[in-house]
Amino acid sequence: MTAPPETDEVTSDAELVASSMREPEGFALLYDRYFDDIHRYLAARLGRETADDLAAETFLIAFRRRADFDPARGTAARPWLYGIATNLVSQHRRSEQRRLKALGRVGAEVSVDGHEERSTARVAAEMLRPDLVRALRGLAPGERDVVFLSALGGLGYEDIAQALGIPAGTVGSRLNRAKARLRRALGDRTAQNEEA
Amino acid sequence: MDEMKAIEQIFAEPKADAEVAASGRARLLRLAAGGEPPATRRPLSRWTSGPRTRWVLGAGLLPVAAAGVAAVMLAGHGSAPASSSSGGQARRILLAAATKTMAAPANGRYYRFVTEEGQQLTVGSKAHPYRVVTRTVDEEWYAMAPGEPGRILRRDEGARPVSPADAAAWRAAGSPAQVKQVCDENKIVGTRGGKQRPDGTFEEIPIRQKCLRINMRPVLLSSSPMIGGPGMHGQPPVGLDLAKLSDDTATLRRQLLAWTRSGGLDGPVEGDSAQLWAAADYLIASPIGPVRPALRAAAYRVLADLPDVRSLGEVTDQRGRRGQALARVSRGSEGVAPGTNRLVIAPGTGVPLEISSNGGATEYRLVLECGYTNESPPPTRK
Repeated sequence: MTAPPETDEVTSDAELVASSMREPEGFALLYDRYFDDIHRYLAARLGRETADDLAAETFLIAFRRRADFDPARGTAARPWLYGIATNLVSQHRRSEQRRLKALGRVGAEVSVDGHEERSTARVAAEMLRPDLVRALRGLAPGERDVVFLSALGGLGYEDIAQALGIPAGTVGSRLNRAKARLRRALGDRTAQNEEA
Repeated sequence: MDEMKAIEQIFAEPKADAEVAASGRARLLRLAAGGEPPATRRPLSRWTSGPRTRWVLGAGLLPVAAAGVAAVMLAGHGSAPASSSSGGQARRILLAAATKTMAAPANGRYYRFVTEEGQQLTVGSKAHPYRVVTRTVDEEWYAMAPGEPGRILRRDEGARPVSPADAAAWRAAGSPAQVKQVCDENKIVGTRGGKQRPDGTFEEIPIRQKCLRINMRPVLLSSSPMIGGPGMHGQPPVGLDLAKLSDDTATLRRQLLAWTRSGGLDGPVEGDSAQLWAAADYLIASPIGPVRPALRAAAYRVLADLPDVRSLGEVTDQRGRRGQALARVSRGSEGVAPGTNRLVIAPGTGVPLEISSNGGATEYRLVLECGYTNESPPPTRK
């Protein structure tokens, strides 16, 4: 007999998904665990407003497909959910392009943080923004997926491989290729900023 | 700072509002309780929530679009019998478009693809808000002579007020050259990721809301030589080689499915129909390089064979051009965002005019030019 989902903090994702076949409402616990992560990822790629819609959509799709969740490929649902979210991104390439174009514009309006939050890192990133975003636009969609899953999702090679359904070696080569291109686009400024 | 850290800094957005998270959770619970049909359309985003009939993005377009969406949604749910007449009509329109397309010039000095994107925003001040539509035009010029570079231009055409009342509000504000989206920039709207903690989670740093600044006058945003290479902007997606794609309908269909099934769409889109619609969209209405008329015609014929493409009848686009609207309703179970995807075609020439999702109520994307030309790109001058 399983405990009610809300009280069982240590139930693994795989157990949760499995038990949701019998008790569908239990799936909401996965939502609580990962909604913010998925929203953060989608907002970075498509903007916050689109993410507001698609983050929840990710979980609805996951719920409908929960029978396909394969614990043998890893007991964490995180890569699986990122995979679904990435698939949604691929269905919104125009929103993505629009966002990249807007962020890449020289003099584009960007977040005006209060001075107390205006970290050195933020200022440094701002200087790189137009070139970096332009270079990101030039990446293949599959390369951008890997870059964002790593940079915003914090996923490792294995998790990205699982999310995208590709071999980990491919993740590695895509990421290396993408990073090399981004670095080339930035010239030697990443190093300069490191010293700043 | 390395490039990955910079990406995180640049792209991180504020956390979702609590009510957004809560409403999504409620939807999930409704679905779990069996209270939500499996193929519902996602709710419209914040600024599309007004009554649709009052939405005035472009004269003429929206009432037709809204009515069409409603009709198609019914059919898409399977609760109403699929309308064979609108399906048959869609097939006729697509086959006619294929025939007309074949008459387009098959060579020229350049292949040109020009698109316009627009989005409705509320601008001004909290006390005196008004609405404008932004308009951005992208031009891709593919040089046909070997060794000659192509060119990519991006122009902000300047936003325009939506209605005469909006225009009056803009004038009353002194006809500013740049307007600002209405939102409170002092409001802390959430947090963004800071440093990564050892456990893999991120520190959360408060972030304030940001508002867009919108040009009301035309500005040339960029003009640069086109850079080749698969997956680059203006180039075909990886794995889709235009030269190798067949002009024969059945062969093209097989090639497109092979591409989508091998991960061309970056995710498991389910069902031939959803895959082919997405793939044909690239060939018909996206800047991916010189798509010869015979290939575009074949893409139309591939769409004509899909069982779930419907005709929405004649519509007028944002530029006042008349065209035949076709729609396919996608379902969440296909692995795509559910909603209505619309393609508008000029019946006389077969050229694509508009591609939009969810009826194009709040944003639109038009194809202004598409095909071979002997004209030259505009000179590079800001």
